[in-house]
Amino acid sequence: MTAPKPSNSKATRLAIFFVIYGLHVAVVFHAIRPSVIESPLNYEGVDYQTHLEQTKTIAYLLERYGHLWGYDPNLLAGQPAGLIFDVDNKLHFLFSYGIHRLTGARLIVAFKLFPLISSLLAPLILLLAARMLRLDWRQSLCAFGLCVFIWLSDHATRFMWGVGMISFATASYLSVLAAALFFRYLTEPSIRRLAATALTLAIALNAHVWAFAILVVPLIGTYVWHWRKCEDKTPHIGVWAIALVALGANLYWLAPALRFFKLVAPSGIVGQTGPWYLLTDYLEVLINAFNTFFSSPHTLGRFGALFAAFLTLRSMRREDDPRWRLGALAIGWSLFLAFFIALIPGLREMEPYRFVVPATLFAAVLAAPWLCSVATRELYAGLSPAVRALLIFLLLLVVPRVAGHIFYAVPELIPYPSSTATLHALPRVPGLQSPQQVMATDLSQTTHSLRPVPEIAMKLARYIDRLPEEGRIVVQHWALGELLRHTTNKSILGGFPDRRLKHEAAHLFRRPQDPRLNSATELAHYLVRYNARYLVMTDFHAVIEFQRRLFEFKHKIGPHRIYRVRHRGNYFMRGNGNVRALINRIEVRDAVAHKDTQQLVLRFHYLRTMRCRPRCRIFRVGIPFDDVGFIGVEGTPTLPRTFILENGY
Amino acid sequence: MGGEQATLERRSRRLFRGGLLAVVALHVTLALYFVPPSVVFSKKPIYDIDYALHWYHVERALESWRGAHKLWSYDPHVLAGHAAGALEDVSFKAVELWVIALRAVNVHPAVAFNLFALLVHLLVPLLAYLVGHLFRLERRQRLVLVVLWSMLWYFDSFVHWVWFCGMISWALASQLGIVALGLLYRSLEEKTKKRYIIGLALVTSFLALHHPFIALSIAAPALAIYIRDARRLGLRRHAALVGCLALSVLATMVWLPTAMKFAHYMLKEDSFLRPTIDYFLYDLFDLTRSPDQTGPTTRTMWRVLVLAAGSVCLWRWWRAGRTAASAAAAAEARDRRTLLFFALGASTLLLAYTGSVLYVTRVTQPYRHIVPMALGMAVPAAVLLGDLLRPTQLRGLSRPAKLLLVFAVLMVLPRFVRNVLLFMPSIEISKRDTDQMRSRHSRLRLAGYFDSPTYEMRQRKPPKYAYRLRRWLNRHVGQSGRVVVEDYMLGEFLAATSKIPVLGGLKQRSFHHGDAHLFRVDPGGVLPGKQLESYLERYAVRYVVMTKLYKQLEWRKDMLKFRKAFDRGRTRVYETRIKPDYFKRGKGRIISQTLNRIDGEVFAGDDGKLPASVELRFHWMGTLRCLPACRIERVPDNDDRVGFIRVVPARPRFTIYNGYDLSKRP
Repeated sequence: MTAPKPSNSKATRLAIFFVIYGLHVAVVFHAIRPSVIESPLNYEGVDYQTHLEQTKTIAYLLERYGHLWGYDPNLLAGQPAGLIFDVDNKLHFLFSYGIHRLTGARLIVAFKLFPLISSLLAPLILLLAARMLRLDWRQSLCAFGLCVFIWLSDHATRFMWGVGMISFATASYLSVLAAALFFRYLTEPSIRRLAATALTLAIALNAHVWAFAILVVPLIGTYVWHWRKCEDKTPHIGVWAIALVALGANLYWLAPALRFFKLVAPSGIVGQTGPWYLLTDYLEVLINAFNTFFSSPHTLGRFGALFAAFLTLRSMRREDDPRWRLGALAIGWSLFLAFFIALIPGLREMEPYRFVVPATLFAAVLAAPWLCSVATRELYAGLSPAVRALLIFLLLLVVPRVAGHIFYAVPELIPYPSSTATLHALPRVPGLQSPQQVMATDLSQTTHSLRPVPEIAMKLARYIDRLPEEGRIVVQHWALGELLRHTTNKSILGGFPDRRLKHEAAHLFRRPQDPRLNSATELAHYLVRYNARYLVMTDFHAVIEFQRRLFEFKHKIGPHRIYRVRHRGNYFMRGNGNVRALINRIEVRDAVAHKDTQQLVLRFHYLRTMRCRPRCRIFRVGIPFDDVGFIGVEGTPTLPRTFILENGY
Repeated sequence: MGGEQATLERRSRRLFRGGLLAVVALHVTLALYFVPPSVVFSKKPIYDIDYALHWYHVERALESWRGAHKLWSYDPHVLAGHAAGALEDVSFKAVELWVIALRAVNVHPAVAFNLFALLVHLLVPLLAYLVGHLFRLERRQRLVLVVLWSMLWYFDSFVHWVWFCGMISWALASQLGIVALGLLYRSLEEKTKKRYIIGLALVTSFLALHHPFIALSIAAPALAIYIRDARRLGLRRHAALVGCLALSVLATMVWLPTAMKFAHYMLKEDSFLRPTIDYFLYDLFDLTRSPDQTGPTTRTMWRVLVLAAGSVCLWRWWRAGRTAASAAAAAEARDRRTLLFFALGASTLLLAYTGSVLYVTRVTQPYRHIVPMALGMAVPAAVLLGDLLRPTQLRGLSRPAKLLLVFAVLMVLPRFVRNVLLFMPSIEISKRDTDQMRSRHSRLRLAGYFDSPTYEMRQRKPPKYAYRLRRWLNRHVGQSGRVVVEDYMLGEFLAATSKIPVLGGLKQRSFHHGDAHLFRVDPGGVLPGKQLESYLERYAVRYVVMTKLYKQLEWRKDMLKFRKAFDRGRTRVYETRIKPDYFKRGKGRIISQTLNRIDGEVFAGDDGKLPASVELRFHWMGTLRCLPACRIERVPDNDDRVGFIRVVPARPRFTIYNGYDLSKRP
């Protein structure tokens, strides 16, 4: 495996590099088009709605309050923004905000630039990781090519950067580099490597909190092993320095998140893959779209890399090459995370299936040595004609799988079938002509490229924004909820259903089995409790839409139906007044306390850092189905007519 | 040494027998899965796709055989009257005769019909073995051939589709076509043995009766080897081969003369299985470009394997003669099977992918020739693979080479498993919760984003609701009018198993009588304004039975009123708002309509006199005769190319019957 191979000339290496990277760049630019980046609309991908909403909110908080977290009263009846749910969006935010401030580019444009830059960097970073793991140029270029293939055609990876999980995809390849750098630093310590490792690790953790999960076992395992074997040579101080730098660079979000850790709620829904998914993924059989990212698995590159990496590691182990431990730990641990932790209560929230991506990228780098060792003329020349023929037949049978992956990456490569003439093209009976144009299909559904939010959704946003009455908007489709939050001034009950926050209890459509969805009485209470004024339905839901006692149909835009809620409640559970809710701030005018208790209860989620002024204080009021509770206000001693609730941090 | 040789030989024979037994057991198990005995012996005919149509053919053939000892008839129940068994089922005569024969020994016709399908499945390994024997394959190669045929049979998407959708006679013809080539090959090779030429005569005459299109598949290879060997053959052998041909022509007399008489009704139309040359690439990459052309899903792994391995084998055989000193010596050194399989592979591929260019081949649905191509090319492929898979070939491999081979197998394995799972979804672990997504994204589906929508590709009985619907219609229809049936299979089922007059069934009927089929006139049944009313009146429609949702038709509240739903609303019955009348001109009523016969009554006019003639809303046919003392004339119609029946002179009571007189153009 480590035997010296005849090295290619520099020109050849460069040529191969540019051909592979050229293809990568072409496909990435095809998928993420500059015209879409420049447009004022966000990408259509559902997670991109959430992340843009988070980015806009945090940018506002940073500019207005100088903090990277705050209280957003207009989502889910008030929820902490920037605390727990968006610890996976820090690097994306810093990048977007940085570009926005430094260049004056619009925040949304900078936001949309991130997936492009990340995708363009991915194979380069992995090439660097290969070099750090001492792969020669031939092997590194092989790893580079495999990474490009996987980045573009593996369904999990492709889903991540297509739908908006770009931060995790970025953290995945940065983790590979961080592990490679760490290994290199342990075996050949130097200040330069220390700095590079610390920086990469810090960036990876900023990109996504689960970079920690990816790396914790491989890095500690490698460190401990190195310590045991080469005690004298282990640069302990350097290792701890790396850890401290990485931690320090992430404290700005970690500290507040830990402070509010009690707000975390279990809510693992998607990506819950058990061990059997390892087999079905290999066989490319779809079991449950929710768990394997809404696509039939395309895993040729992944399992090719995993099998080849296994053979590389086996070889390395025989040769007592220390890289095998890092490789085995990194791949094995990520696969364990992906296919076993769904069985462990409390860890389901990590969306385990996501960890196939770092496992695959680790494997892609480590597959190269074995692949290069068998892709030699010598080996081929040593085969009998019969075995050569067998190999060729097997390769021939793999070709359609490769083609399938290429078509998956760029469906536009398939010439679209002309309309199939069956009856439509047949001569009709004279005198009974009723020509009917048979539209083959909706061509807009035929691409994997990131498209802008459809105009129909923006039309809905404009309509919602113009609705005159106060009260919240219940939104069924979660991505639409996020979109309406960041494109309108309305208060939304909806959005991402599994935010890992207790506040998602205000989300009616969070779980299909929610009793409030399935009982008219509970539904009626819900609507009053959260002061819901309108309902936006996209997928037909008989239990809801037949409740004409509770709703009246108002308007239809595209597939979305808007209902007005019939109740006449307001934002006050006890007492009365007028409310104006802004990020980090709720203004109450003409407040009238409840005559019995002399208190006032607002239909906004409680947060312990909220402060009331002047001459008032807040307390928590419990409500059904919701552990967070609402904000109660009482005067000290009497409730003022006008007061402000503001985040006191 | 000799003892060792004998031991080896014994072991090899044991292994071969064990292997063969295992393959046959697997094949039979799969056959019983795909054609379950619970369906075969249920006394209900297989319902899937064309089986429904073929069951109609068989039913009519049985009835007309009982009444007139003919295989064709005038069927007033379907499409306002048409010649059943004259044109449409020329590829199903053998099955009809099979059912008639078994019926004669008291086997239930539906069981006989279903048994035929099962029998064709069970014949596969047997015929594969026979083909291996005829082409002188070694034991190992024969075993590989049986495996290849079995795998192609179940897991090549088109071969599977052919037998699943009801093209069962073509499925058998494709196997027998290769057997016929084997018999011809051996007849030419072994001139003294009579059994091959006798076998050839029997098989080719059966094929001529069973499915005439197979002649196109095997013509080129048969001619090629005949011409090659023509000079070497004696007069007797030539005569014997001509005799085979003559017997085959004779066998076509069962259906050909009738078909020729009715040929003028045929339309120059074709709908299915006529891909263009670019489909070759789509097939190679498992891409479904058009389900109409290559079947609903494309899975060609086994086909590509036999084509590639077969081609390499042919190249090897051909190369064996390349170093010979002269052309004669080259021909001698070359394997004598080379020309036959080259001609078979080339001609069938050419037909399959370019047959759509010419009308004459296009109407035969040229893609069907893929089946004999695959089964045929499996023979040289088995020769090559049998060689390659010798344990001695693999034993001497270096470790990296072995690993590489294992790696390649691991990369291919998912493709095979997915092939299997596609056709056996009941064992698939998939929850299929994404059907909606799959159907929405056609191009992404094409790219493999989602698997093609699929359903259990194993034979089923008619659904229960079809019987409930039939009962309801039987109670309500009588002689009050006809029933338009949208669903193809449901239409054929009702036509075959009841006396309900049906306007429906196969939409792609390429003859003029199809003008009575609403969904042939327009695929969505959309006849604007008065056109719908005119259609309903023209064919005396009482009910419309819808399964697919064609909103533009179902929302024609001016013409249709909802009556009843079946199968939880998936099938809906509407009653027309017209008053259907079988009499186009004159007044009267149809007393009964049965196969080959319509009994009617004419009412006197206001003046108490019968009209000079009456016109009926039944299709005219030249062989129809009228009693008592009346004649049948054709009434042309602008919207119906067949025209209707005029009874001259009108009689108070009349009977129209099929006179089976084909002396004039019917």
